[in-house]
This record gives sequence, C-alpha cells and structure tokens, in this order.
Amino acid sequence: MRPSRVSVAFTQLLILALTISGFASAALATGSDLQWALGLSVIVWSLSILFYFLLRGMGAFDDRILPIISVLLCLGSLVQYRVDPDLAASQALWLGISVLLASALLFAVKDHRVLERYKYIYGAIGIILLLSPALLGVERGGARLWIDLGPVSLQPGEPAKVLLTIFFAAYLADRQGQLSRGSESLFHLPRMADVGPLIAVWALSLVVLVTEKDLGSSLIFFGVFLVMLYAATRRVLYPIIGITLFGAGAALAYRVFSHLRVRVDVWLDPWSDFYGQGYQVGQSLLALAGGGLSGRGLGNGFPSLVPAAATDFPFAIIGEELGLIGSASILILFALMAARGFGLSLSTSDLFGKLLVAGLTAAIALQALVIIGGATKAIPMTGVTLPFVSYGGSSLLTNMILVALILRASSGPRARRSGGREAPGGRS
Amino acid sequence: MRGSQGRTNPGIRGIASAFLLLFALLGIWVSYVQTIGSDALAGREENKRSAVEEISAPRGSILSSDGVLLARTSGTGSARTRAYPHGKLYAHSVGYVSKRYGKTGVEAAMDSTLSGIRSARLVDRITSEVSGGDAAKARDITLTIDHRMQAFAARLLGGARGAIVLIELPHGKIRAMYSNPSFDPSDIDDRFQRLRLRTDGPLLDRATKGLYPPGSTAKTIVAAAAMESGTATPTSEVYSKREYRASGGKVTNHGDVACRADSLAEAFALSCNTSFAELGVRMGRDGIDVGRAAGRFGFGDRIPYGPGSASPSRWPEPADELDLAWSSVGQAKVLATPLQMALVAATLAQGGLRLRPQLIEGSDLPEVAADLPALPGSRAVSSATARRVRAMMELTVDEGTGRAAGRYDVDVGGKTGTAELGKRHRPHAWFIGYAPADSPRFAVAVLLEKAGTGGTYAAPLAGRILSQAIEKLE
Repeated sequence: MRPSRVSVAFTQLLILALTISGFASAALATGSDLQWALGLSVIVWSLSILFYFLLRGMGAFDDRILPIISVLLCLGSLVQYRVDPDLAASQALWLGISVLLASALLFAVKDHRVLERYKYIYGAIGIILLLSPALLGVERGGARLWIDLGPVSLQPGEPAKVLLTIFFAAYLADRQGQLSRGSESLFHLPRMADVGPLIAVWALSLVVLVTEKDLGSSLIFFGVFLVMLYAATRRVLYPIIGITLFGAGAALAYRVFSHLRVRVDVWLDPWSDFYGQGYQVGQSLLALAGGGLSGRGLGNGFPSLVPAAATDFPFAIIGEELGLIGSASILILFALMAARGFGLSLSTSDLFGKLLVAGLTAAIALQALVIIGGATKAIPMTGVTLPFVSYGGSSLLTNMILVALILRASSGPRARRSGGREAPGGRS
Repeated sequence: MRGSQGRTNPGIRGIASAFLLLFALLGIWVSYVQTIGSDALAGREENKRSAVEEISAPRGSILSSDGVLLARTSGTGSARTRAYPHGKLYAHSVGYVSKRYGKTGVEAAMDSTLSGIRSARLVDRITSEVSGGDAAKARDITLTIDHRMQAFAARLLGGARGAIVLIELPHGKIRAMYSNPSFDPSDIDDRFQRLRLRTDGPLLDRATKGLYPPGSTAKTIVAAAAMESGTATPTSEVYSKREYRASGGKVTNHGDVACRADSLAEAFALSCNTSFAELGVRMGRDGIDVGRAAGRFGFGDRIPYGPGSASPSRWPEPADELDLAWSSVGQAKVLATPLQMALVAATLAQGGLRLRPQLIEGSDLPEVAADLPALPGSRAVSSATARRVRAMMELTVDEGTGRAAGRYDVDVGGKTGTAELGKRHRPHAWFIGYAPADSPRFAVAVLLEKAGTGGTYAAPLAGRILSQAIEKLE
C-alpha cells in the first residue's frame, strides 16, 4: 500500500531532526565547528531524500526499506564524523555519486528480467573480479581485498557479490526443476551436471578464502548461494551438505593455514594477544562495555582508541556512544530490512526475480550479521563492512545498487499481479 | 520450469525466519556484552578508557599554597589535556596524568578527589545515582608548597643533581621539595620513553625516593642515641686519633688527619669520623642499638606525607664491628632519603617530637585523613637530648664544618655530611639543619650528588633557603 505523502514526509522529517540533533550533540561535545557539522548532516540527509525521490521516479519504490536506509546513512555519517570529519565529508561525496549511479542503473534496467539473459557473462565477470585482488591486489589488514588505482582504492569483492548473485538466481531459476527433483526422498541426489556448480562454488569460495585471506566475503558468498539454493529447491539436503562441506573445508584450512589459526585463537581469547592481533576486537568490546545501556553520549566516546573504526567497527562506536539502545537499534533496523526484503521476495511473481531479491536481501543481512558478529566477538573478525554505515565508497555504491535491484525486481510490472500491492494499472 | 513460486514461498519464509532468529541471537549476545558482561570488560586492565576519561573530565586544578596554578585541564570535549604551567618545577610532587603510563605524584594520590569519583562500572554508577552521590564533584587541591620557595630551591640547585626539602615547623608542612634533574610533565606521552632512557634519571624523585648514604649527618642520630642512653654528653671525652681500627679494617677522618677534638661537641662540630666510629662501637658493645634509635626517627618507615610516601630509609644491622663503625658515620649500608634527613633535623628542632610531613592542604579530604594515624606526641628522643644535640648543631654552624650556612643573617643549627663513594667519585654533599636557632621555624635538608664536601657545597644552599624562608614566609 502506498503510504500517504504525509506519513512519508513525517518519517523523513523525523529522521532529519534526529540527524541534526545527533550531529549537534557530537559537535558540541567535542568542541568542533557546529555549523560545518550541521551542514554536513543536512547534506547527507538530503542525498538520502534524493535517492528516495529518484527511486520513486524510476518506479522502484518501497516505503519500508528506504527510511531504514536513510537512518543508516545518517547514522553512518555521524560515526564517520566522530572518527574524523574529513571521512564524513568524503563519504558524503561518495553517497552523492552512489545515488546517481544507482539511479542511472535503474534507468538502464527497466525490467530486471533483462539481467537473466546475460547470466553467464555476469558470472564470469564476477568470478574474475572476486579473484582479481589475489593477482593485482594489495594486502591490508591481513586480507587481500583491495586494488589500488592511484587516488582511489576499490574492493572488487563488492560488485562481484552482486554479479554472482544475479548469476546464481538466474541459474537456479533455470535449473530449479532438475535440482529439486527427488525431494520426496531425502537422500536422492541429482545429476552431476546439476550439482556440479554447487561443488564448483564451494571450491571457489575456499579459494577466495585461501588466496585472499578473506573470511568474511567467502562466508557471505557461500551463505547467499545456500539461501538461494534452498529457496529454489526447498531441499534441506543442500544446505546440510553445503554447511558440512564448508565446515570440513574450514577445519582443514584451520589446520593447514596459520593465519586462520591466528584469527580463530584471537577470536576465542583476544586478551591473550591484546597488544597484537587481538587489539581491534578487544578495543571494540571495551568500547561496547563502556557504552552500557544508554551510551556515553555522542561526542563522549573514544573512537580514536578503536583502529579502523570508520570502516570495520562503526558498530563499536555506536555501541559506545549510544549504548545498547543504539546498537540494538542497528540490529533491529537490519532485521526489519531483511524481513521486508524477504517479504518483497515473496510478492515477486517470477522465479528469477524472487530468487534475486531473496539472494540480495540475504547478502545484506549476512554482511550485517558477519560484521556485527565479528565486532562483538560472536564470530571471528573479518574485514567486511557494515552496509550503509561503514566508510567506503565501493561498499556504499554496491549496497545502493543492491537495494536498487531489490526494489526494481520486486516492483516490476509482474509483481503487482501477485498480491501484496495495489496497482494503479491493470494486468500487463 | 517457471511459475513454481507457490512452492518457493514457504522456503523463503523459512529463510526469513532463520535470519530473524540470527539477528535475535546476536541481539541477545550484544545485550549481554553491554549490560551484564560490561563490568568485567570495563574492569580489565587493558581498558585505558577510564584513564582517558579522567583526562577528559573536568578535573580539579592543583595550586601551590600561595595560589599559583600548578596543574589544570585545558581545552574542551575529548580534546582536553592536562597542562602544567610550571612544568619542571613540580614534576615530581604534582606528577602527571598519562593515558599510557598512568598517573604519578599528587595527580595519582589525590585522583578521586581531583576527578570527582567517577567509575566506569555500571554498578557504581547506579549506586551513586541512587545514593545521591554528592561526593562526585571534581575538586581543586592546594599543596603546602610555596611557589616562591620552590622556585628558589630550584635556582639554588641549578644544574646540579640532588634535592632540597624545606619543612615548616611545627606542623610539618612541606614548603619546598625539589629534585633535580626534573622534566616537563606536559605531553608526557610523547616524552616518557626518552625520559626513561636518560642516564641522569629525571623521572626519579630524589627527595623522596632517592636513597643515599647520609654520611656525617647521621652523627646527629648517633649523638642522640649516645645522650639518650647516657653513654656520653656533649662534654665527654672522645677518641680522637687519626684512625680507628676494627675487625680487620679502619675508619679514617676526611682528609686522613687526626681529629683535634677535646669533647663530643667538638668532634661533632668538626665532624670527626674516628670519634664517632669509636662511640658507635662502644655503644654496640654495651648493647645500645643505634639502628633502633634511627628507627625512632623514621628509618625503616615508608614515611607518608599526606597521601604518597617516601621510600624507607635504612639502617641495617651491622655485620661486624667495622660495619658498625662505618654505620656510625653514616656509611656502610646506611641509606637515607633527603626527606628522612630533613625530618631528623625537624624532630631535633621540635625537641625530639616527631611530626608528620604534609604536602596537601586540607585534612578534611578523605585520602589525607585516612593516612594520618595519631602521630603527634610520638617521641624520638627526650627534649633534653634534643636540646643537647641542637647545641652541638649550633656549634657546628658557629665554628665547625657548617660555617657556610651561618652567613645569611639567620642563626642556623645544622650538620654537614660528606658521603664517600670510593676513590673514583666525588662524595655526596649533605647539609641538614634548622633556623632560627633559638626558636626553630623551618628545617631543611640539602643533598648534592657527587659534589664534594657538605660544608662547601650543601651548607651555603641550606643557609640561603632558610634565610629566604624566614624572610618571606610568616
């Protein structure tokens, strides 16, 4: 149901008010330039509004997801401001670029089904991008995720995720029948030709893990694929096999690769190497603990004590300054976004679109879970970013495109037929 | 192949539920970390946030007794820093606050008062909220140190290594306490490593933590023990030969000459080693323990001065008579801090009554009060003994080795010390004393590392600062 203009305006104005007061608090508490902070907050908010209107104009619209993203973007900007105001400024620039590029993409792709046609191309490009840092990349923070192009660094893993998700969705939509045959009997296995890609993908993700030491991407990558596989076939066998294989592969890798062992050991007890590998997670935990229930207040935390705060640990900063209230809000926002995303997937009529939306939603949700889990020592720390909140141009751009695709696929003409939405037009 | 969405939807619903479950589990975990588990985390020693917080909080200032600002917090928000306008002059007494290296001096000892007791722990914050926590306000601290005297002491020491301690009587307030070399406590985070590695040890507070052989200043204690025990009086005859032999070794006088002393008083004033060596051994044979007498003056105690305390000075049991002989002239293994020796002079000036030195004004402050057990009335020696020793000390300045201290318009009583360090080094120069002689108001100890004889190097400084104190302080 389209919300009334009033309620939309109300929501966004509320977000503006919260953003302005947040920035004002932070600026006043740290004795920084108030006008500059307020200016920045208004710019960031305006860009998120612009995104909203552009998406509406392109016919890809959802009243639940966009405000959530708006809040996340403003909160992210605030976190970056607390770490270093210059970061916030450059991220605002990236936000502008991302809004335009994502909208341009929507302009080019009026119907998501065009993507289905080029699935193998996307898949190939995706694989190349995923593997490119291994060949051309720079090692940073223990993982090889980045490619340096002079003034700008890119993370090819980010767009690779999107391309590969498109590929999976299309492939699975194509082979759904073959893969799910035999669902009557739990252990009936399909043909090699069909299950081959599953093995290939598993192997690929472990290759990524090994050569680039990028646990996070491979976890997300693998998880998204399993989600889509299960969604397409409804065979529990696949996720079971998949998880078992991943577990076995990871255990083997743990034994063989020392850097992995280090990661796991640091995860289990960061204090034993606090001044070495465990420093990041340790400081993140200390920041969260210091925040307590309601936080130390904006501007009263110590973002400088947490390394890579803007990129890897924005959650710790939010937890420190806004307390459990703030960190729980982030979790709730992502949970709501996931719920809405899956809801949109349900109401998408064509299988490719359905799988695509589900997969992309799973990608964002998994990324959030992985990075928050890592920052709170629930799982080992990885180098992925918190969507929309973390600093990083490629991350922001990718996630904006991801959301744009979700909205495009779920609000396409066919979707209107399958209920859950009111359509001004009739059947197409 | 298409249109199987009917079958797919339940799968997607299942996936959605799985994700929501994961978010919920993560939410429970984060809640735990930020509430129940937060105390354990906040209390970890790796957590420097409370240190940083205390730097960031509006911490109280520290002032001298004459109102000069010694430490303050400047800047706002998380850019607050601790500034020390007089840097080097108060580095050891005031101390510093460092995120990385902790706190020292008054900054450390009076921390809760300065920061207004705040705790990072959830439990403490709740209880202080509930109980109305009115102690939770940052307060300023005033030291007993007088800025003019402290600056004067620093000027007197100049570039020499050593310490000066000036105590006002009868209350024991420390009016100057300076140790050189010193350092600027501002920006300590940047400087610490370099300071730590310097061979001249600027981080050491020589006044309260430097242990040196007191040399002849210890003769005050030996003389006091002799008189208290009835072994000798100021007019008793003394051993005055050139050397005194014991246990296969010998004690000699400074300059290796004979001592032309007819009485204990003269031996004291001329600082004869052999006389006191013999006296000490004689007392030892009679079962009089000079070490215990020293203990009554404070040796062996961690002498507190407000909060904070000095390293204990030592007067160990001698191994044999040679050891005893050398101990009696303040060598062998006897070691003392300048603060301790200043207290010896103060105690004698007070008629034998010990006093508690104080660095902080305001005995209503919890840290100070807790540290002040009943000390008034504690007696090191009888007032008669003290009077006799004082007479000898005044003779020392009138006619003896301490003449240089008496040239500054004030009658001073005192004792020089020249602590030998072997052939390769010049001796430490000491002077302890009090003024005015007839009605003492100040006691002092001056120590100059490896400077030479006490009479030449330390005595003039002592005389000057005593004179200055009497003139400037009411």
